[in-house]
Amino acid sequence: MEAFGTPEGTLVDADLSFIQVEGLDLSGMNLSGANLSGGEWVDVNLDGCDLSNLHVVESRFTRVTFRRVQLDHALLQRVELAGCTLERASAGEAAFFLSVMSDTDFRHAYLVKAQFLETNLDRSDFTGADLSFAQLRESSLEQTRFISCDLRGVDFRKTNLHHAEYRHVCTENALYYGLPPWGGEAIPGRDWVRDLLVFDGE
Amino acid sequence: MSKANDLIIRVAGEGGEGIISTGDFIAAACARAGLEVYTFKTFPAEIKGGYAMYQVRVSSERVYNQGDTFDVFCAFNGEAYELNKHLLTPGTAFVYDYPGGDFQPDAIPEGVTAYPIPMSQASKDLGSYRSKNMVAMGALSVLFNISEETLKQVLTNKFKKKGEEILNFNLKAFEKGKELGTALQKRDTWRVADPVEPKDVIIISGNDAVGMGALLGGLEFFSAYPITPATEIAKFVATHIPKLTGTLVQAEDEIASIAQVLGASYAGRKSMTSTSGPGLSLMSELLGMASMGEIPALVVDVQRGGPSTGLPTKHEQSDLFLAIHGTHGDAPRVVLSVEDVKDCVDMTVDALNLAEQYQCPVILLSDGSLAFSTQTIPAPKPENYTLVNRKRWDGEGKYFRYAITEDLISPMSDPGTPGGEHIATGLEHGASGAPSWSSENHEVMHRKRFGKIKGLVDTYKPVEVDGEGEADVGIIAWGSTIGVVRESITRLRAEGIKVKGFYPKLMWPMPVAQYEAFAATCQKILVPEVNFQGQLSHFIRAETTIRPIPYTICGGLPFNPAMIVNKVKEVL
Amino acid sequence: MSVAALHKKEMAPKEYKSDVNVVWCPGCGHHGILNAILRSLSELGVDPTNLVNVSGIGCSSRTPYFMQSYKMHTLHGRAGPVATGVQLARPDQLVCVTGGDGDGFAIGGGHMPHMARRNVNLTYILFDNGIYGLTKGQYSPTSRRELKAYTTPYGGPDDPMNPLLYMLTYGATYVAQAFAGKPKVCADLIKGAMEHKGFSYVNIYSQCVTYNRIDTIQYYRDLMREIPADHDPSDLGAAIELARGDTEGHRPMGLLYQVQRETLDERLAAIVKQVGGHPDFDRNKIINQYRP
Repeated sequence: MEAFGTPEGTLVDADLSFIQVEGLDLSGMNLSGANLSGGEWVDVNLDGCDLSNLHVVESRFTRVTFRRVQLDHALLQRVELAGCTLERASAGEAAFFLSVMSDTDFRHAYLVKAQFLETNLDRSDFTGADLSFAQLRESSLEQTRFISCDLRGVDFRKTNLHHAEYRHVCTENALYYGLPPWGGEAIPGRDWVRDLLVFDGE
Repeated sequence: MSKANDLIIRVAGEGGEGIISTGDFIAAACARAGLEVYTFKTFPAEIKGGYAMYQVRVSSERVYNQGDTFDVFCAFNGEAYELNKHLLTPGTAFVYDYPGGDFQPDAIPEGVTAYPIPMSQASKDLGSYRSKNMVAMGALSVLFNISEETLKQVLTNKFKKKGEEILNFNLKAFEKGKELGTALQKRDTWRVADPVEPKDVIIISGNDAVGMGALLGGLEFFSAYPITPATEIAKFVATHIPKLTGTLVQAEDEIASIAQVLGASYAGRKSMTSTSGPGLSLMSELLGMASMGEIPALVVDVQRGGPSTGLPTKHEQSDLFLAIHGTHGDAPRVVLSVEDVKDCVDMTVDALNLAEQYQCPVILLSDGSLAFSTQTIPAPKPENYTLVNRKRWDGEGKYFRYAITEDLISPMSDPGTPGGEHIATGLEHGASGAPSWSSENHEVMHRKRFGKIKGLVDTYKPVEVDGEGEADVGIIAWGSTIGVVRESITRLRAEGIKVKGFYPKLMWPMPVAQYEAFAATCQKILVPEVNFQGQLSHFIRAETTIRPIPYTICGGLPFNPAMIVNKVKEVL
Repeated sequence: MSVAALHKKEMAPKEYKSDVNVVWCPGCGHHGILNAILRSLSELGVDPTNLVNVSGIGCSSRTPYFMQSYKMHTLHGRAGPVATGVQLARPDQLVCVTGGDGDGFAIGGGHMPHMARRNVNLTYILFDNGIYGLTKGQYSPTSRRELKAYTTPYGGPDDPMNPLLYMLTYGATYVAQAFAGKPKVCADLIKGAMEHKGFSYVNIYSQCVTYNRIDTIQYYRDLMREIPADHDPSDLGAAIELARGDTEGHRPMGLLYQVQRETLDERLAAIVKQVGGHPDFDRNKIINQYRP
């Protein structure tokens, strides 16, 4: 924890797992490769931080801000981020698995090839976000807002799309079962199942 | 083949008494004298001691098998006598350790010429029982015209490494034996053919020949687990492969040995393992992986009596089912079977080539009687063997390991080749190697894997047909049984019986058209084989319209020509 | 091959990923271990062209699919001997095995001692989640008895094994342990293992969120104790003491043991040298030995 006392000190690859943090301003710091697992983070400002290759399992973040963070190739599993903001975050190829990210602000975030698997994204806001080739499989998207979004190649299969909102979205090559979630006719002859790489149980 | 030209000497006694070396010396001396040699031996199953038998058949013409029974029998002890006395039929000669040995034979049957030689006593008088076999050899040499000159050369070569003293002691014992033999009046007509112009031959056992073939075939990696009767292959390779910078590992089990072979082959090396039936059983799962992952691999199976531990030291041809179909799923492989020691060399090269060419497992079947049988064969010429290397990726474009090509063989890429990274996998896969479990793809890939070896029935050397025109009985034989059938056919023809032989070496895929064409010229088809179920007969019934007459024996010993001759007359 | 002698390539961890989607369950510890592997490769500057990653069968055995390299997905339990073959055939390449506890210690348990005692120059990364995940949750050789699994509805009858003691006893020359909740520790230990010349074994506990609900990351957090800084990794006795765990049942995290010993490929190369081996050795010399 000494690192916290010296804001100029590096937090690259720091092991910050299983700790409780409240009311800290770490904005602009470099935490790339850090481990924030098993923690309880409340009222922390991480704006502008470098969080690339971050590793987080089973942590809870309450009123933590991630504006303009770098989350490139980060791995977040079973993480609660409800109500946090990731506005303008850059999270290409980041993985958000089995997490709770409802009411989260993803406006103008860069989420190309990001993976949201089995994640709750209810009521989250993706306005202006680039989600091209992201995966939303088996996630919940109730009342989620996709406005002016790049949704090309996004995998929407097995997602709960109830009342999600789509406006001015680009959906070329997006994957979904049944009719397009944003309305319109089904594209004849497309076999989505074939595009899904599945291992048989060896 | 005239009997005067063709002599079978059997030496038997206690393992450790020099039975094996006596046989080896006689065989080598005859080979050196330009004669053809075919030996056959049985080892005791005990760790040390026990009954051992070594039979040398020598002729001035090519010898194809071990023969019916012996003409000359040399008993080193009472046990050997008891086990063989029923074969002392009129016309045979009997040399035995007497007086001073551990037995006195029953009344010598009429027509048997007996030569008592006090081998033990003479050897003891010279100072050690250890030279008993030298005494025996001296006596045999004078009694049966074994070239003294070449025998002495062979002895000298063998013993000079051990020092002058040991050499002289053995030569002295040999002379003593000669003296004892000369003292007895020669009363039979058996004699080894006179020396002829020496030929460019080697004398080698089936197992060593497989090892030699492997090295001539460019083998780079070998891994095996000890098992009777295949271990000598590993010993040969272990001795020589480091000289060629190759690698040998004795693995922790047969599963590991085939696994290492697949790993090394994936990494670009020509690789093989050798085993017997129990080991092949253990390997079956990974053989399926080699089929699926299209990894070149050679497994030499020296068959023994089965199932389970079975008759570990005895001969049998009972792994054909296992070799052809032994794994789960539809797993294509190439199965070859050798006839004799010459094949052990040449077809091991073939097998390595086929594995490389078709990127699949190849199983080469030898058997217990060939494993230890030494035969004179033309000395192999390394430069005469054409070696095949696998098709490798040329580095152009994007690499797909399992690309469907015109000949259905996809180029491989060795580790370290930029751009050729790929996965070799036991999962069903598409062209890139990525898993794919659609039924369409599964079928496409099955067609690829089976299709690529299909043409082999036309490109591999044609099945040898022995005889022309129509025949009353056609004999289809495989493995070492072929050699027995060759001689049986010669004898039957001499009696005016119309017979033909068909000798497949490519057991799988089965050259069905050639079987059919052969059968069309024969009234009846007889399939002799040394297993209980008639395994080749089974495949013939399954794959062709031929309805063969199976002739199966499974007493742990090979056929002899007389048995086949009698059977043909029976089914005629 | 020692990593140092390999051709270096500068690549970010994520560039080592293949385009195959990672199909492990969301929440699985394996995701973190995969990242740790990618990261150690990046830090070592390994060119994926010179890496052969071999696996058997199981959840963790799918790892090769998710990485760029030469790779083999072999049979259940057989990754070790296959990798041994690869390593001996191409000692100039970097070879590693990724597999699980069932694959390595149940069906493949017979091969482990021999890789260790032969000191095969490869890295074995074992993802230990104490469960058979791919076959939907049966108990494994490292499952705790408390685990009520698919085939042990009343709890397990078997005591779990101790992989570290096993590897130390059989002569592995690098033995380390960590858990998936500490990716940096994992990456550093994997890096050390890949740099190590000889058989290196890294045991990484991994949480299975689907079938093993008792070995959670909190459980592992409390279970693991960092190895004291004054531990001498060349001391086998001390390493065995650590591997046994302390009286409260804690497990060590870090590098337990590392020594240098000749590797199998080195010893085989020495034999070739001893006999003056050459690829163009005249085979007639062997044939002539069989002239009568």
